Amino acid sequence: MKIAVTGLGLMSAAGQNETVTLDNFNAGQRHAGPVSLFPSEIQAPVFEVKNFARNYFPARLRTLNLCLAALEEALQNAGLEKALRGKRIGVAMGTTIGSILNDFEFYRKYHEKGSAPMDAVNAYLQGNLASAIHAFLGTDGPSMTVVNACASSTDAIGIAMSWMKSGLCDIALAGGADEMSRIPLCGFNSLGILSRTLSAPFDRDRNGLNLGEGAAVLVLENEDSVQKRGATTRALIRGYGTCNDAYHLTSPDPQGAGLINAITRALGEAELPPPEITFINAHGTGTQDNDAVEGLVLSRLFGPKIKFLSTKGYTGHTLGAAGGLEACFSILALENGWIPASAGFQNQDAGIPLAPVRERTTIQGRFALSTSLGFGGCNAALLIERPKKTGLGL
Amino acid sequence: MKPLFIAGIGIVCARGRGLDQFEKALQEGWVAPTPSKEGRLAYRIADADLMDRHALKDVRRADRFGRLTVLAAHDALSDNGVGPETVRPATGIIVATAFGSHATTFKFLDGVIDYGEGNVSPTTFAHSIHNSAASYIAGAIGCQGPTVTVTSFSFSFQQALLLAYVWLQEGRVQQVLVGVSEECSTPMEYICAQKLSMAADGKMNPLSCLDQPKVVLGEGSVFFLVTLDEGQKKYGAFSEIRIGKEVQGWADVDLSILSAHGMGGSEKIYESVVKKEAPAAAYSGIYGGMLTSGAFECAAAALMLKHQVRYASPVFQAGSPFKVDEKAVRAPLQAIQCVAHHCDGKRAFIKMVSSC
Repeated sequence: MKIAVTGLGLMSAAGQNETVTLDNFNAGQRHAGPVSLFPSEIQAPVFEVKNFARNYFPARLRTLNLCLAALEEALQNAGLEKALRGKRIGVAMGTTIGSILNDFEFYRKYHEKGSAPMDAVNAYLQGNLASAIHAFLGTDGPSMTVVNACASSTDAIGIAMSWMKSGLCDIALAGGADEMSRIPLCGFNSLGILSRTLSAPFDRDRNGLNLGEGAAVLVLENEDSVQKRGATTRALIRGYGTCNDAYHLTSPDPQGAGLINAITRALGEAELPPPEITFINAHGTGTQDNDAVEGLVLSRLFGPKIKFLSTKGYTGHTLGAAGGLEACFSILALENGWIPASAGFQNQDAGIPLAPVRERTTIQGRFALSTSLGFGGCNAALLIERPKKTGLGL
Repeated sequence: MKPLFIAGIGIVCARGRGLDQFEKALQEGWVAPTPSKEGRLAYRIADADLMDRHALKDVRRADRFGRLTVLAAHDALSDNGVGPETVRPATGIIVATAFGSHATTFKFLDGVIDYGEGNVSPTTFAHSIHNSAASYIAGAIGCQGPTVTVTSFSFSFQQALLLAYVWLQEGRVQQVLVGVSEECSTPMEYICAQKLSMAADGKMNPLSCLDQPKVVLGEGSVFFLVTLDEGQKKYGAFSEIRIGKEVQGWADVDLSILSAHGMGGSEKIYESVVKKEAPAAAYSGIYGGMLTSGAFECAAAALMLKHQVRYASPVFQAGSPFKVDEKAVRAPLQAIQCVAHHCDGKRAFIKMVSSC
């Protein structure tokens, strides 16, 4: 069974819709700056979603608000904005920050006085992404908030695909969201992997990641639903693989065992050999370890000539939203026939046997691979196809 | 749905570690929870139950949440005699939780407040990430299969179990370690005291279907090793899972176990989802209230189906609409349903059977 993507919604520092995002990719624009959403002593560029004022739920739930904004765009894009109430659909969303009770002001008051108002707790209890989306839409069906660190939304999309193949739902909303937060800012800083300059994924002189925030939602439909609605198939999700390194909590396996397994499983599910892959949207955070392992694995599996890039130079690392955003970017690239320059990359690392694209690059094939690596040894890969331009594309 | 056979169970809660301890607790019934230094009652796991040099040797640095999760997962595998050679390529891990490693998140925030943003512990940060416990399980047992952590305030275990089934049906894995984990902490106990009706006498009444149920917080972890291979069956099977607003349970079950944990709002709904005078049980009074307690109820059901006994439910208040055993009863048990509801109106039913 092929799973169609019939709608996309995306929200990041690279753009709050498809058009602006593509314009920024085309122009190589990178909109980073100091943290403005909360006071911080950590001086590092971050990629915030500027002038975002939509407020569906209490103001503190920025992750959920970003997610709902992307959701509305995706539903509109799929022509489903008013058609879901009372229906059985699946909702699988990835996040990291959105799942944790980490309101700093709440906790500071509790820490200082042993008591604190419950407003932040009440908001948190409304903020589980999948549950909140079901409540927002008035829908019923499979529901899962995936908290698999930086691979969360790639796994969410893969899980939604598995639900649909198993017949649990005909339509699913999948993706993820994360807001700029003090916890990962301080945490990545403590790990020594937060860059003080704009990140440079896969570059010889890379020195860490930039944090970002954002959201992405994909509308997934099975063939019956696409046919019944006469929906437009923008892409097909053909394969998903997810595998653990079983190696270390914060470092990837130097040989990339889990990533190799995840990519191999995604290719296997799609029944495609590596040479069929047109380009790869790599996780590419800009940290020493991630990029070295990922570069090694991509080179081994696809050879040194494969076209690949990291889009984190445009969005920062959006954590639980990253895989969803990068799946959307991959679909836009397949539709438009080009991938943007891998922002920040200048010089090839002698330890990485291949280099990402340095400039906007034309592509001609139909298959993209999007990879995600996360804390905890998580590795996930999605195989995405541009449909043929005949019939329903299925 | 094909039967999802239970090949092993691991459990740790305030009543001890291991199925033997859990069964003993079900046989003994209620014991008083212990007060914290702030005087708040909870069913907390003794530190001694979280020590195991062998099982934790590769995860020595894990936080408390990680340790209790790894121990339950480890024990579910050991219960089936599964070794690393079978785990590595073919096993999936799904950890479901409501509040995850929140205690470590609070500890990280303590560091930010006390020492400044630039002086926090990287280890504490790594442990505060929701999937650290699942990662520790993967490391401890050498699992290189799919490993995900999912979170929800309603039915995260039921949804996780459904995902385990989907993965097995797809052939993505041959067996799945699926379970839940929750931890008590001083800030969470404060929050619950603000938001819930706490049982000052330590006695919960989950079978009374109260509008304002009282709760004693609990903590613990339960894992099931599940497979579609009947040859691996050790405790019967999950035969059906229903989750949603309109779903109903089954009339042909021998017992309904209520996942009434005092944390999900009014429990009056159980009067309408389980037939009046039908045999019913609830055990949250033994291990405490947890939003993922459904897994503990399933563990109790699995033991009852295996041993053909209905364990008594702790009852402190007359007036349950159901037929409740106040003493353990030997009885033929073919099917048990575990019933859960959430304040958003959704319900979840898991049917478990002794044989298929």
